[in-house]
Amino acid sequence: MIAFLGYLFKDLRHDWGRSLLTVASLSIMVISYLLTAALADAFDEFGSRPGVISHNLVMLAADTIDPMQGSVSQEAFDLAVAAVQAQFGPQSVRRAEPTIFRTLRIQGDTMEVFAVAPVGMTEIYNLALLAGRLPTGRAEIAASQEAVSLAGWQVGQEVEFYGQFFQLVGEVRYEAGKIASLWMTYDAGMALFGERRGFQVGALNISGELDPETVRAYLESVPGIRPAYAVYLEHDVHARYGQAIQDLLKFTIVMDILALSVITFGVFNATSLTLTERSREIALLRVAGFSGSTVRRFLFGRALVQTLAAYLLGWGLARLVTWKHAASSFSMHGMHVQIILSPQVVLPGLVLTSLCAWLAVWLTTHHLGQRNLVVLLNE
Amino acid sequence: MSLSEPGLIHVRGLRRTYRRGQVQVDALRGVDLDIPTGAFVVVVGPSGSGKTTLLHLLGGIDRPTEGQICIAGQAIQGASEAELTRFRRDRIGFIFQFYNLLPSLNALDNVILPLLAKGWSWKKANPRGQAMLQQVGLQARARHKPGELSGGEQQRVAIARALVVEPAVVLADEPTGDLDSVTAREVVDLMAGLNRNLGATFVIATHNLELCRHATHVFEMNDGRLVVSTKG
Repeated sequence: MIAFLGYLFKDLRHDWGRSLLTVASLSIMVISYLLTAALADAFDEFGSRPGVISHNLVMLAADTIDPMQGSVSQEAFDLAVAAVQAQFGPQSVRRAEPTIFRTLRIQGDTMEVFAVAPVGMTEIYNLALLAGRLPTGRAEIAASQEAVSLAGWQVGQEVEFYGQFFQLVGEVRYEAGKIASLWMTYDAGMALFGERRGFQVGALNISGELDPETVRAYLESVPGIRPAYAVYLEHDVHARYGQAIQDLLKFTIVMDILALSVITFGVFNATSLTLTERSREIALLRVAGFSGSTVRRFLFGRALVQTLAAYLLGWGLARLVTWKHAASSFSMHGMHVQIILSPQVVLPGLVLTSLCAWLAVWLTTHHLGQRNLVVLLNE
Repeated sequence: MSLSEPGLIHVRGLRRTYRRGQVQVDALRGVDLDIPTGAFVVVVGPSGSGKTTLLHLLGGIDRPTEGQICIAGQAIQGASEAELTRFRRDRIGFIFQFYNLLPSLNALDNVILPLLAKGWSWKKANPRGQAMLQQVGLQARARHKPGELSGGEQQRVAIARALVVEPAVVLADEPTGDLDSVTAREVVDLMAGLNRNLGATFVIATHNLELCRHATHVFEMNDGRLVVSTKG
């Protein structure tokens, strides 16, 4: 075994220029693989987070891509509450609160801002207090744990956005969304964003005994609600963002498969070239008494050493990219995405890359035992 | 002479036909020969007469179309690939015209390569390799790579490699074909000396008639047939 490895490394050293080139080209694909795998891992984390199914309905302006682009009139919102109560009983609506909604870039990260009456924060949006308290004053905000983690804030500090300073008075958990969000009172929102555009979300918390989908379908049939407004289940709105991330996840998986395929073809090419250029040497090993399977093991060992070196180099460079580059931590639709080269990304990648190297060598050499030695010697 | 005596080569009705494009080439057309242990056999004949094909068949690196080959009691014409590999490893040493040394290995490592194929460790094989290099007068060049050796030195390394496993038969295909006349004579003398000292049977295909002066047997081939067989 030591003799086998000794010969292998002497051979690689002798052919160092080609070996280096192979390692460098494979490492580029390893970087691509690791970064997209880490991205897929980050996206997958969001996809696997359990969403909480609430009894909240949200009324938004119809035909808008982003809720902040539209607004809901107070008359229409009142009509919706009255229609549900008329159809399903006076107790069917437990609470209804208008909510101002904005998506803002705050200190470089995308966050969603909700302005709603304090009672709505707990009784409709079910915010759970993790630290501090809920905001009550016009210059106070609470932040979801995702926002705190993303921005590195601490309860008690001042946060500036939209040209105004706010004091972060509490950290909350928003189960339905699991997004980077900021919460302020409705009055604070009106003061900050102005009264002209009113509110963007009409939120209704309906009785737990009712089927939310039945109520939603009924509301959408009420004249005066349709066609100007659309009504969603609260968790469906957030699921739309989750779906977008799941679509990206599928794309990153495709990119990973492509990167692994290129690694396979890279090793295949390098091994094919070795076989073609050095057929006489390979024939000589066979003549000297090495079996076809030993020669195949030697070629696999050679490819494996190159692949492992490329993986190590690619891993180091990918770490450098994630460490130095700001793009390795970002937010999407208020969701914090952090690219981390964790062991569950790096180790399966190492196994898969080794398997690709094995496959490539097998594809190149599986017929080696059948090749006529005289032909190989004369090539 | 018993058929199982080591070093005995026993060939009957050996034919080798192959296709070159649409043309069928009869490289060997029924060769019979017997070679005793310790012989120094020289096979002469014009290019294309079948000398190299005969050596390839005797060494188990090609398979006959027809006929029997028995070397040291082992019939090889129907052997599996694994059996042929073991046969080459344990019984045969090859010397080629163009030396065929591995450029990535130094002289010593090239010499011990067949021992590594037998599963020897580098440490165990090294003294044997050194001794073989001493036999061919190259102990001082053990750490040099083929690119740093002259043609004659490379062929001496190839001879040491062929003999390191103490094979029953050494097959040499035009071993002096790429050397100048002085070096060729040195290599011929070296092989003849090793034949006498080590007792290995040598079968040498060549155009170099100088070799015949050491030969115990001379076979002349023409057009795939053995036409003259004389004792030296």
